[in-house]
Parts: sequence; C-alpha cells; structure tokens
Amino acid sequence: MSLGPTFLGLLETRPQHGYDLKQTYDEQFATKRPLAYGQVYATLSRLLKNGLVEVEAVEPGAGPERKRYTVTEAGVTDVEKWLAAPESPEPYLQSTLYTKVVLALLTGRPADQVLDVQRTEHLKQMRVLTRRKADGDLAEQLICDHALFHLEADLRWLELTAARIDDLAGEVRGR
Amino acid sequence: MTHTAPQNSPAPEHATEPLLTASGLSRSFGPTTALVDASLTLYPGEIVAVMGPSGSGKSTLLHCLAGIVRPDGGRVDYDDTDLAEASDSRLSDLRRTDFGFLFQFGQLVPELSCVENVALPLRLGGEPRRRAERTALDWLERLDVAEVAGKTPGECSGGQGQRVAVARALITRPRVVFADEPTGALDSLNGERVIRMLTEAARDSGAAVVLVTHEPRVAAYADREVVVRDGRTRDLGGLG
Amino acid sequence: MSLRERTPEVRQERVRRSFPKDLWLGAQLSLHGGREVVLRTALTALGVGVATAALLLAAALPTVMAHLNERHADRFDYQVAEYPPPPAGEDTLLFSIADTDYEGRKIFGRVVRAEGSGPPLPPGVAEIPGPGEIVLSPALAELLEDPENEVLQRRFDHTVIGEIGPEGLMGPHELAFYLGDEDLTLDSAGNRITSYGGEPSPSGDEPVILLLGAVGVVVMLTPVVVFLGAAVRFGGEQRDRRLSALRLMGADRGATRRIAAGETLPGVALGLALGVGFFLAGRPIVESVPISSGLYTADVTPHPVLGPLVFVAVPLLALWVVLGSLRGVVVDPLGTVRRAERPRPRLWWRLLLFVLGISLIVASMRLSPSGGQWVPMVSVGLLAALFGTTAVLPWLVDRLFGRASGGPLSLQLALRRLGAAGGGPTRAVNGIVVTVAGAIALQSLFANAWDDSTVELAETVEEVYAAQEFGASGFQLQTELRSVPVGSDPAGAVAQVRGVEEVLAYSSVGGVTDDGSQVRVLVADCPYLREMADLPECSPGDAFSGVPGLEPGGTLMVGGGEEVDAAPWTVPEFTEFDGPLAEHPWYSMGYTAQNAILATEEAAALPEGIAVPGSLWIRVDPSAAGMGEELKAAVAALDPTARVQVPTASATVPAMVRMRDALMAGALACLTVIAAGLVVGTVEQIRERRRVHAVLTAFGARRRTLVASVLWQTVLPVLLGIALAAVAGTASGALIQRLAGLPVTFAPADILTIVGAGAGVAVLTTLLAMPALLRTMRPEGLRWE
Repeated sequence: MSLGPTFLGLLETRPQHGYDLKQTYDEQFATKRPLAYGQVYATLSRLLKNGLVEVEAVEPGAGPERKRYTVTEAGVTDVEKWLAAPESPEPYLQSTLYTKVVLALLTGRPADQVLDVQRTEHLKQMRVLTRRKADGDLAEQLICDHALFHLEADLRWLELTAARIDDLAGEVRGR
Repeated sequence: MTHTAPQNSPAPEHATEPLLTASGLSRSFGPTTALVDASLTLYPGEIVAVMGPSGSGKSTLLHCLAGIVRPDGGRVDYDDTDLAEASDSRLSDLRRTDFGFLFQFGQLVPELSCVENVALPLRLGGEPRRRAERTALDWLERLDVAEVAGKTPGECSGGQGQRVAVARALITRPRVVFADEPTGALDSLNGERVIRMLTEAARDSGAAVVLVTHEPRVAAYADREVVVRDGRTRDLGGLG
Repeated sequence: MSLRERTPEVRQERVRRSFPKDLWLGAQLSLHGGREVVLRTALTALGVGVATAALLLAAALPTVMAHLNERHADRFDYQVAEYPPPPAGEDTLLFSIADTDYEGRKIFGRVVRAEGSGPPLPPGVAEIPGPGEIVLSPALAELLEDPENEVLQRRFDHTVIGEIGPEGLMGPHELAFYLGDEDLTLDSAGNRITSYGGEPSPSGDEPVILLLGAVGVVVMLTPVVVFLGAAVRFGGEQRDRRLSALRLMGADRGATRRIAAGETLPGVALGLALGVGFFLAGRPIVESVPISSGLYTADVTPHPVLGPLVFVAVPLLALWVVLGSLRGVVVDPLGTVRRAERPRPRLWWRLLLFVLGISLIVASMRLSPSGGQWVPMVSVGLLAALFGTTAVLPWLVDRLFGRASGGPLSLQLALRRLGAAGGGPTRAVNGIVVTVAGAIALQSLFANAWDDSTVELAETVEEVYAAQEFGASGFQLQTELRSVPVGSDPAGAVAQVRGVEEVLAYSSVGGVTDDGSQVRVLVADCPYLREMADLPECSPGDAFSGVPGLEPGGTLMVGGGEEVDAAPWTVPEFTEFDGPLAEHPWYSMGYTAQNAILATEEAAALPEGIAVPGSLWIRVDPSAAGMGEELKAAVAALDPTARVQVPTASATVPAMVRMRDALMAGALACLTVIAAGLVVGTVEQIRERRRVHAVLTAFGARRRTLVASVLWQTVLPVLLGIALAAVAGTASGALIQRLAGLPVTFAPADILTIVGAGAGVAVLTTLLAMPALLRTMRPEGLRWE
C-alpha cells in the first residue's frame, strides 16, 4: 500500500492531525493491522520535505503539541497522478496456497482434499466478511466485496485445477 | 435482524431435531448417473449451500430432497414421511404447504401478472383469490418490487423477476425453501440483492434454505456448505 | 491479395440475396432440423394435401358438368327425332319411351325395334336387341341379380345380350335398359330416328353448381387454413431461435421472413404430391357414391386451366398462412419477441364484408323468390356475412379471455393463456364459426326444402288411394296398354296380383265423324260400361252415346295413324245417355256423353288392322304388401311400355335428404379438421410451456388443476365458437327464411348434433393432448438444457 498518496488523498478531504489521519486510515483501509505511529510521522515528514503537505496550524495538546496538516497544490497533483497511473496487476504467482496445491499434486496426494479443506477455510472467511458486509456502511461493503471476490477467485482456481488434475489422472490411468 | 442460525460456522450446534434427513440417495437418468450415495441433514432455520461443479448432481439432490424426483435408492425423511416412498398426492401436498421453490429462470407464469404469480401457491392451496393477492402484495412490498405487481414477468427486469420469485417461494411461509441457482442468470449486483433478500427473509420467517449454487460468494450467505462431486456428497461441516 | 479482391464480390453476393434464394435457404434449413421439423413438415404436408385434394376436386367440377352434359346429349333420341318421321328404311330405328321406376329409383328405358340392318346404335350399346332381348346397365344388371328383387326380375325376364357401356349412361349407378320388341310400330312406339345424339344444350344449372361448389370449397378450406396455421407453428420455439441466429449473421427482417416461409416449402411440396395422391386415390371412390346416377372416375378430371392453378394457389395459401403466423413476431438477433400487442385487425373491410353479405342475401330474395338462382347468391352472401362476423371475434376473445378474472385457478390460467396466445384460439373459433354457422344456416335454408322434399300427401296410404277413387266401384289405378291382342285377357292377368280386388279392361279408339268432330269409342262389357257412366240398363249388344247429330248406321273413321289408314266403322244402334264419363283423375280427358260412344263388343266389333289401345282400371287393397311392384311386373308382362303410377302417402326426393346428410357430414368433417388443428396447437403450446408446468408441479399443483386448465383452454374457444356459430347460423337462417317468406323452421336435432360434436371435439382434443401434458408434468421438465 502506498502510504504517501493515501495520506495526501485523505488530507484532501479535510486538514487533519497526524493522529486523526492514522485513525481514518485504520478505519478505511487497515483491515487487520493498525498503522504504527512511527510510520505515520515518517511518511508525513517525507511529504512535508517534498512540499506536498504543509502544516496549517500548531495546537497545544495534553501531551506534545499537535500539528494540523493540509495538502498543497503539488500534493493534489501528486494524488491525481497516482490515481491515474494503473497498478500493475499482482500475479500471486508465489502464494503459499499455490505452493501447497502444487506440492500436494506432485507428491500424489488427492487434489480434491486440498480443495475441500481449503474451500471450507475460504468459505469460513467469506461468511465472516459477508456478515460484516451486511452490517457495514458502503465503504465497509466495498472493502469486504474486494476481499470476497479475491477469495472466490482462489476457490475457482482451485476447482479448475482439481478438475484438470482429475482429467490428467484419468489420462495417466488410461495409458 | 434475528439470525436464528448460529453465527460461528461451520458446524453449528443444533439443539433441535433435524428437519429433513436424506441418506444414501441414488438416482440415474437413463445411462447418466446423477446421484450415487448422497446424504444431507437439514436443521430447522439453517441455510445450507450445496456446491459442486456443473453436472455433479446438485440439482438432482435438490429435486430429491424436495420430493420432485423420486430417488432410485435411499430415503428422505421429513416429518415422519419418507419422501422416496410417499404417494404423489402426499408429495404434492407437502410441496404446496411446507416447501417453497426458487429457480434460475423461467419460473414465473408468463401470462399472469407478478402479483398473480406470487399468489399462485396460496391459490393452489385453495385460498380465495382476493385474499391470496393481498398477501402477495405484502410480500412484493417487502421485497421492494411492489411497483411491478400489475406487470407481467416479461415486463420486469431479471432482478425484479427473481425477487418476485423469492416472494412466491416464501408466501406460504414454508419450512424449507429450495433454491436452485437463484442468482445464476443475474449480474453480481442483482445477484447479491436477491440472495441477501432471500436469506434475510428466510431467516426472518424461520425457513430453512437449501441453496444450490456454484458461486462461493453466494454460498457465503449460507451457514454451512455441502459439496457434491460425481453424485456423492461431502459434508465438510466438521472438518474446518 | 486475392483475398482483398474477393471480399467485395462476397459482399455483393450477400446483398443480391433475393427472394427465391432466401426461400431456398429456408427449405434447406428445414431439412436439417430435428424431430420437430419432421413433424411440422408432416403436418404441413397433411394440411396442404387435404387442401390440394379438395381444390383439385373442385377444379374437376366443370369437367364433371361437361361430361354429364355430353353424355346426356349423346343419347338424345326423341329430342332429335324428325317430324314428320322419316320413312322406314335400312337405317331407321323405332323406339318407345319406357322410363319407369323401381322402389323409388328411376329406370331409364327404351323399347326398340330395328327396321333394317343398319339402325343407329345408342351410345354404349353394341347391338340393337332383337325381340325378347335386352341390354342392361351394369347397375340394373346387378339389381336383377339380387334374389330380393324377384319382382323386378319378372319385369325384366328377357335374354340379356349385353351391357350398356359408360358412354351411354349418366353414371355408374344409373338404371337403364334397351329392350327389343318386334310388335313395335311407329304408331305404338311414336318415334323413328336415323341417328342418336345432338348438341349439348348449355345447362342452366351449371353456374349454380359451380357457385355452390365454390362456396363448398371456401367452407372446406377454412378449417384447413386453421389446421395449417397450427401446423406451421409447430416447433416454433426452435424456429425462432434459428431465425434469431440468422439475424445475428446478418439477415435482415424481410429475409428472415422469407427464410421462415422457405422452411415450409418442403412440407408444401410434399403436401402437393400428397394432395395429388389423395385425389388420385379418392377419385375411383366417386364411382361407389350412389348419389343419383353417380359419376365415373374419368368424369372427375381437373379442368385444364383450373387444375394447374391449384398448384399455384395452394403454395401461395401456405405462404400466406406462414407469413400471417409471423405477424406480431419480431425476430431480433438476440431472440424472438412476440409482441403482446398484436396489430389491431382491420375492422372496416370485414364489417363491409358483413354488410355486403347481408345485402346480397336481401337482394337475391327480392330478385327471384322462386327461381333456383337465389341459392348460390344466398350462399355467397352467407359466406361473406359469416367472414364478416369473424371481425368481432378478436375483440370478443379479447373481451372474454383477456380481462376475465375470478373462478378457479385452472380457469384463470386458461383464460390468461388464451388471452396471451391471441391468434391460435381466435383462428380456431373463426374456423368453427365460418364452417358450423355456415352449415347451420344452409341447413335452415334447406329446412323448408326438405320439408317439401318429403311431401306429405296424406296421413295414410288408404287416404291417398281413397282420394283418387273414380268410377262406381271406386277404382284407384289406371294403366294404358298400347294394344290388346285378340284373345288376350289382360284384366285376368292383372287380377292375379295379390291385393288387386277388381280389374276392368276396355279398348278405346279415336274416331272422326263426317263433320269432323272427335269422338272416342270405348268398347267393354256391360258391367264395365256401367262403371263408366250412368247408364239406364245394359245388355250385350247395347251401345250408348249422347253425341249430337250422331245417327246409328252412320260411319266413323276410326284408328288411323302414320302407318295405317283409318278404317270405317259403322255406328250401331245406341241408347241416348247423358253425363260425364268416369275417369281417373290423373288421366282425365274430359269425356262426356257428348263426345264418346260406349259400346259392348257385341254391338260393334272394331275393324281389324288398326291399333286398338287398351286401358285397365284397377281397384286394389292399398294395404297389401308389395302390391305396387307386383302390379308393375304384371303390367310390364302385358306391355313393356306400359306404366302404372302407384300413389304413396309421402313422396321423398332423395337428393334433398342426401344434401342434408352431406351438410351434416361436411360440418362434422370441418370440425374434425379444426380439432386436429387444435390438437396440434395445444400440444405445441404445452411443449413450449413444459418449464412452466414443471415449476407449477414443483409448487405442488395437482395434476387435475393443470388438466382442467388445458381442458378449459380447448373447451372455451370451441364452445364460444359453437355458441357463436349457433347464434349466427340460426339468425342468418331465420333472416333468409323470413325474407323468402317461408315459415321459420330449423332442424334442432341437427343443430344439437353439431353442438354436441363440437363439445366432443373439445374433450377429445384435450384427451389427445393429455400425454404431452403429463409428460411436461414430469420432473425432467426442471432439468434445463
């Protein structure tokens, strides 16, 4: 996840303190791991150095003083550029799942079993997401769907692989 | 929303007796074997997804469970009745009163209006036309398609038609709804809507659902899944 | 490079795709279809076959008329006899008309004598029969072979020397004979000819029959069109998909229509062949139809112009039906849409047709109430009116089927289905209305006619006989013998017949007085003379007359004819008497004492050498069984040319009764064809709906609900059609009768038969469609492709 452009985008909606920024980010994007503070401030200072954000105001707080950041013209341009540039599709070529299946197949273990076990696990996850989706707002629904579609893709690939392996096995037996 | 089924899948703890138990089902159509040794247990109010590749026997299993197709072997116990042995008229009665149905396409009677279509199961049960149609209208409202009540299915969009069908499947307040690829002919958005409405409405009315689908996202709306492959079931509920 | 050059050419080719090419493509497609296409082709062929055969039959009507006319003219005899008669010669033939009847069937008869070695031969006869020899028509010969007709055999107890060939008969069922008789003279025969045959006179009936034929064909074709309409729709779903695919590949809308039309071509071609087959196979059957004289196979030959026209008209008819079936269907590249809103049928021309029809009926009535010409006019007017009536049907069907609600579910399903289907049921109802209402109306048109055709002369036979009693002893029958040979006892012979109570025989001869007045001389025994007139008293040797100026001893010239000169006869002594002579009411000549001489044989033997015709007065017991035919046989033995007219209580004209039967049979046949169309339509409709049926079954619909719904679906249109037909038919029938000034009568039994048959047809249709229905209720219906 490119933290820099994300922060710029969030700041574009409204000027925020570093802490608020982290909260918003965690709410919108971080599904499992919340952002570390160090990472937040490191990123902000890099953006500040590049002239993409500026400090709008410094407010005294309970602890250290709080800086409110706002995005600059250059920063907005940067966000736009980032959004416009296509992401290179992630090929997932080296995922653990893939490795597992191939290994199971290579060692002659039944592919179906891998599939079934994996499907159960995937569906369990998908059910959780589906339920979250039912209770969540639009952003929640979108993020859950994103995950759901990916999980579904995994399962479909597994189904296809299993079917092909069955065919192959049939061919081998046929010989 | 009240979820009558337990939330933590897979294997929910069932306090009650099973509603429908099928065991050792086999069925062939001519030279084609559709089911070999299929079993399934359905508890009241739960939603079970039946998954598997096409041609695996999912639909046949559903037809056997619903008493539409008579299995060659095995039994289907529902309410002290073995559906595999029950008379035609008993099966018809059961389907009319206890079961509801939802299919992929072509299920609405084209020349009847939507409200008449929804009222159909009640009218088959002998309810007077006016009362049946009033109930039907309530259901159409509930499923957000009251605006098509007077139209014929041909004048509805696919999603609307399918929601009309959901209303029809639920109007008799069945104990089991059998849904065969209900989202198969719809795009993702409409499919989501239909499956969400189906599962919500079913949970509200306490109906169990047997949901045949090949889409994992749709299956994710169920409480658990049963996989059919080459005519055999694999209930993976407990393996997780 | 070559590719680049060819591309435009290929495109050109596409654009130039023309009507025949599209048809041809369609024809080829239809040969590669599945079971549905085979079935559709077979059904289309059947419908086209029936239509072709019917039209070929109709096209043969002019030939039939022409042939009958020619054969009739070919055996003209008295019509072509010269007057005065030519002198006897080697090439002359004497004949006497001896037409008679047997049990109500007419027998054409001639008694002939060749006067030389080269007499003219009647058509179909190889040789003039000699004395006691006879030539028979095959039908009469067959009749004579039957031992049941022993009475007839006695009448024709002659040596059969041959058969009359077809060219000498009106038809295979005509009873006819030529009998040889050496006693025939020009005087007793009345006709001498040197040749047979004349120019056929244009029959006045011809246009009438042609028009009636045309009406019949239209009525006949209506159900066939209904059937064809159903047949071409068979497997329509599959066809629609095929047409959509063609659209996707770039065929335009017109082209798909032409291709669809082309798909029926093999069926049409097969149907034409089948129709020719039906026609050829059915043609010989006409010989066995015993209506009137019947027809020969060769008579039923299509007209040289109209026949070929059939082969143009029938494919056009089929094309029209196919294109009509595509009306309201939009074939798009992605699928076929049946527009719920079909184009409103144009009302005005049908209403115009209706008005025209009614005016035609009214006009024809005003024109000639008594002539025969009004029958075809009324029939055509009736057809126009009936087709006009169908204008309201779509509206009515829509009204009744489209909006109706309530009633049981099965009824609702059926009504909605009927409302949505539109065309099919409407067409069936149209067909029923046109044919059945036509039949009912025509029937009422003839209802009076066949009341007339069975003329009720009296309550009982006795009454009829009593009505024509004459003479003091109440004789009822009279027959004329051309001569009474000396020493013969004709009265005695006839008196042998069972049921004959008394027979009186007398001779009579015409005479002329000196002053030129005509006097009839009647010679008989005293008791008989007293039967004839009120005579004071009589003994042998007496004579009676009241002719003014007649003197005993005067001379009368009696007898005389073409061959013999009149002979002088001396008026005997006579007693004056007065009053009329008793006469049979049918043969009354108005003889009175003023123009007749009654004489006993003793008083005045008539001169020899002149022909002296005799007469018989017969009194019978009318209730004696078989007396009439026995009497004819006895009289025929005395003189083959003699005829006895036996009265009956009722006279039945067979043709009219047969017409009524034909109408009934026609109406029922039409219903059957319509039913066949309905079955095909219903089965097709059920097949198209197998998915819906399967779903309804899944929802627990009882079998009887769906069966009832299909039953309603066929019963409703048929009943609606029949009800409308009954109303329209009786109404127009009543109108016609009222206009014709006839009492309004109907044949309720016949109407009920038709209505009952209609209901039966509906139920039968449902039964026939039942296997298809039950098949769709099997769970397999849920397993989609």
